Amino acid sequence: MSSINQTVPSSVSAFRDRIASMPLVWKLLLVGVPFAFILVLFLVSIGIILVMSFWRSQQFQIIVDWNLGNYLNLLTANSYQTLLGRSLGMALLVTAVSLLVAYPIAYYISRGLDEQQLPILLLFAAPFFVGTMLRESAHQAIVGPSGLANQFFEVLGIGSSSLFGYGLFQVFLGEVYLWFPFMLLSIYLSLELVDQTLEEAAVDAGAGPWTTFREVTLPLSMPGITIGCVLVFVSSFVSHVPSRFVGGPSGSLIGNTLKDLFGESGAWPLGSALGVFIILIALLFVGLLGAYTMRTVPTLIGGEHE
Amino acid sequence: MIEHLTRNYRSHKLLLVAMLLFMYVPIGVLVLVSFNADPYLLFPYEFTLGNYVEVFDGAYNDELANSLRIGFGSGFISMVIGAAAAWGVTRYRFRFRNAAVVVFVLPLVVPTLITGIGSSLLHAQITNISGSVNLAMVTQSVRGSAFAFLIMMAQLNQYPVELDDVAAAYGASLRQRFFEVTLPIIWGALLGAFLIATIISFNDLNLTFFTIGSSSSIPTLTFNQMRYGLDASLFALSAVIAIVSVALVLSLSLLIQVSGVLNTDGQ
Repeated sequence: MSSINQTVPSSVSAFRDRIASMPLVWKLLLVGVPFAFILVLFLVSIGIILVMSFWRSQQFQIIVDWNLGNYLNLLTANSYQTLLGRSLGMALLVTAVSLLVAYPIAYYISRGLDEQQLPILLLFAAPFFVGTMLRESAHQAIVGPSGLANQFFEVLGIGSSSLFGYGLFQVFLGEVYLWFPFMLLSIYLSLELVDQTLEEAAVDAGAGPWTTFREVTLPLSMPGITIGCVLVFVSSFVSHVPSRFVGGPSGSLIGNTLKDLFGESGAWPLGSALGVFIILIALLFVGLLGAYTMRTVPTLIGGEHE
Repeated sequence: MIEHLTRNYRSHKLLLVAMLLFMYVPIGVLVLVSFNADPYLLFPYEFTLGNYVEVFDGAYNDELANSLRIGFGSGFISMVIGAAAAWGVTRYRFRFRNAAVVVFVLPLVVPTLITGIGSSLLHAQITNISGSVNLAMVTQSVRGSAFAFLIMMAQLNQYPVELDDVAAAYGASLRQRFFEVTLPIIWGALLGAFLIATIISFNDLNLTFFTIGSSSSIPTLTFNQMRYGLDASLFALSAVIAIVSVALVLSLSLLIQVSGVLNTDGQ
């Protein structure tokens, strides 16, 4: 947050002094109230998942009886491991493909466009705001053995294709469709933050476009890549809508199990343990990626100053 | 623009167009089939306004009213909370300030399925509040506040603090400063934060699903219907919602430009 300090000119120190002498009640109101709101409704509600994962349920009754049974259950049952593995693979693939597709587009928007930057970005962002359900209902109508896509290709004489049938491939497309905007916007923002004089300096020093990109632009945009990957990975890992509606009989993901455990089955403690498990895997991914970024970025910036 | 790095970007452009098609073809198909008597059939295509007539006759009035209440209510709460938090964080120095920023943004990173489940546990186990439209509205505000917070942070980081100072030096009261200096500068961001939080909350499934109780919103209704296929009229309503949402988000670029002009005028 040091950038905020730098943007405030020193001439406002008098103003700041006055702010500092302002009644504590203002600070409490402006930061304390929003913080309390998030604390209770968000942090506590996540915390209770952790607490309940150590309880157990019996015939739709939740019993406070501290135990590790739910975790043992998750670790030993094959069905959960299959689903976890499949979801993990799916999330990694969705993240990788989103990254590979989003980077050139974000680069082009940032470096190749001027006035159209904002409209194009908003064009990519807008579908995200349309929501999961609405977009997946369109997706569901299009695919399927006798869906709109196959009807269309039948009439054209190409014939229907199993690619448009329900299955993991369509789940994959659905996940990319849902979460791609996260990746694009994150990478774009970090490309905008890259100091372009560094790129010019590299070119002046005789580096070709590819070398400049690989040695300067790419490492400096790592924060955006990391944030984009985290958002896409976590979102697609816990996603449950595409797998439910275009996944077919063997396209379920761990998100479906998680959601169902909180539905009619009444097995909330087991579901909570699964939730904790999922959060831990997501955190592990965030940690590994974050550590990698931390290692790459400062060395490069440090090197520039030498 | 660096001369040496300028390329014709042909493959980049191609990828961009392909990806835009990928994002918008489903929405286009949705609109197209919403005018068909049977939206799940491409042929025969029998153009009809019947699906829309059903919607306007009030087939989804309850769910629509709930969704609007969740959307606008949460939009307003999010705007207030997000703006207050962003103002506090950019203006005041205090310990744990960076931690506070992380906490305010965290609801964006945690998937809504997890947050939704957590909320349902919270209210079932601790608060004993049973699910309702209002509860869904408040729950959506947690995530909406995070979006509003980010938008307000972006604006307030560029806010010319000197103007407040000058106004204060000329004896403007706190209230005058807010209405005559601050508000004219930040109204664009406030409106943007409100709109974004409203659209997000209106269309979100997970947080609403776990907190709305026995009522329904448009997304939860769609979720429950999709197992057996949507009613033709729901395609019509979805098409309207999709178009309105996209148009509102795109209009933000206008809003940002207009409020940007006002900003430079102010300076």
